[in-house]
Amino acid sequence: MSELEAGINDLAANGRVDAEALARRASARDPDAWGAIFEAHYRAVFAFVRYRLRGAAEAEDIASQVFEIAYGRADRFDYRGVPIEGWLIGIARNLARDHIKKYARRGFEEELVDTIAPPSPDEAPRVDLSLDIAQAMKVLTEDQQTVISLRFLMDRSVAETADVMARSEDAVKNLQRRALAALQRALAGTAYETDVAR
Amino acid sequence: MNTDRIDELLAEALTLGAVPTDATPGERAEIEQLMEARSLLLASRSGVDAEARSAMPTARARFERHIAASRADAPRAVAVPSRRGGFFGGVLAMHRGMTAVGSAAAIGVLAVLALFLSQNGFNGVETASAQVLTPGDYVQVEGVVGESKDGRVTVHSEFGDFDFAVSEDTSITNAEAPGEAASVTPGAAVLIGGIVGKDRTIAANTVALSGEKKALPTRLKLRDVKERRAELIGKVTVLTISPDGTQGRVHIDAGNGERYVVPVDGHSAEELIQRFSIALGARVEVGPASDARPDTFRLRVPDQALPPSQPPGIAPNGTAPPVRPEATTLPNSGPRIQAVRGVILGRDGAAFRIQTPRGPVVAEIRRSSRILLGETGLTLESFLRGETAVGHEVTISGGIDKDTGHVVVDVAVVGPKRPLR
Repeated sequence: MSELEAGINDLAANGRVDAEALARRASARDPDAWGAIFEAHYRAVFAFVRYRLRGAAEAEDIASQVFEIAYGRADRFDYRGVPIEGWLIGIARNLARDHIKKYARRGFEEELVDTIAPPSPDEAPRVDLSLDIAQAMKVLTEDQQTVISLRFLMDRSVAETADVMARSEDAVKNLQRRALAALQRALAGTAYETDVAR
Repeated sequence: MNTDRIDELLAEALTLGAVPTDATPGERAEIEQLMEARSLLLASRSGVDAEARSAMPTARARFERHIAASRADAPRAVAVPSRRGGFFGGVLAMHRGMTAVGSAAAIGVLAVLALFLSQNGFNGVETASAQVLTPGDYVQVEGVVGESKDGRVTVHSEFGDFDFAVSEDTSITNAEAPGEAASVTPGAAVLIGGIVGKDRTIAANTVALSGEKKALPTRLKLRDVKERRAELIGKVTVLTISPDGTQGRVHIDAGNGERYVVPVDGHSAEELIQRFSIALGARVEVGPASDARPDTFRLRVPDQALPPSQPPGIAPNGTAPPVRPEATTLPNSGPRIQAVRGVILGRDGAAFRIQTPRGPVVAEIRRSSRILLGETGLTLESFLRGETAVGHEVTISGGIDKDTGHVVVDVAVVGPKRPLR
């Protein structure tokens, strides 16, 4: 279950609003409804675009644009067809794609170091890993990046990922294997200390 | 090896957190490699989540502004004359046929006012903090310290009470020397530079105390200037800058006992900092509204208000140890935050070495710092990526890190590149 759906269900359980009511309010550009949508989804949208872009500042900007565009197109959103999160992710994917193309046309060499806020020493290993993952993600196809973001950064299930990507669950399983294999090859030879259960 | 089977084994392993027991040694080896990649992703996830959490206040404020702007721009379904609240609303309602009202006399040197504003020119008096403090904005504001509890300080100001929060990152100066949180005592005159939080508490980057007690300020009416018909000249008492630096607001003391809230473009905020180092106390004139944004004005600085000194060229060797930054030449009395004007000599991560008329100074940029790049051709992206900006003029307002003596940047305005000498 997505964060949004959980949030909507919580609201519904509290008797304040149901999912369709929230969607209707969102379509009518109710600021409170959009505030709730922002709170429920900003972090997920940020995570989705984070490793496609050149740093946290770009991710912050693109994620913000996602909500601005969604708000502008609110009257076109049909809750029955697509979950709000899927809709937002679709916008995020297009924005990130356009952003990357724009810089590719300009011949920008992507740099990933955010020097404004250097990490404290105890954060260094994680930051290095973060930079390496961002570099490694660049060798993945867009679909592979999407499945990595949804499955492992946003913690979505195979079924939810399939829903967002409009693929079958088998296709997602195949795609996640190829994506992890490509990522593992790109990261090969780098040793990291992780405390995550394998 | 059957890829469908590997897909299923991997899916199962991802769910269980372990390779299924029926996997062959070859399959196990392949799955373990894939799980290694997945574990690295999970390890990085907390960092991404921390970045997202950190970005949210600014992003939320930006989204709130977007919604507010969209709603303001939206055509109204029914054209019903709005009822105006408060005294001015009543006066204006009685004179519906008027297209412009009001004027105020000039009082003193700083008060030259000849406003002719339309009915839409002013709002009535509004809730102070809501009108002044927008979440995500950088703000420079003065007041008198009230209660202080658990790192949160209430300040009485001429537009009402507001809170600011002191953290270990807050730079506190007392009479322009490094100070302690304990010196933020009730009755002290204080100037705060910081970022407005969602609850409109200011997360203080810089707190400057004058070392003197001050009487509680008189509450003044705030009036929004939305449409300009003639000149408004006065002294800046509050400055705010939006997260992206493209917009701001100033409060102008026109000398008639009221404060005018003027939405300004990013260039105006840059120029204020660039010319005065610190905006508060600067004398400005409200220029014409932008064609593209009729609700946004450009400030002009009268020539006689310009500070005398100009930035030096680059010294051939600027490796001397950090020194106290030059004192500000602000026209404002009372507490002062630090001001540095000079030329960038070099950069090491977030620390910039700056040549000033009094010698080299090290200035540190933090996440909460506002960097205004104006028409330098530099971009925030390139700056974030490590652009050194060596040779560019820079004007900074901020505080002092008491441990290192470095200037901590609240706002930095980067100017054009100066030739080597």
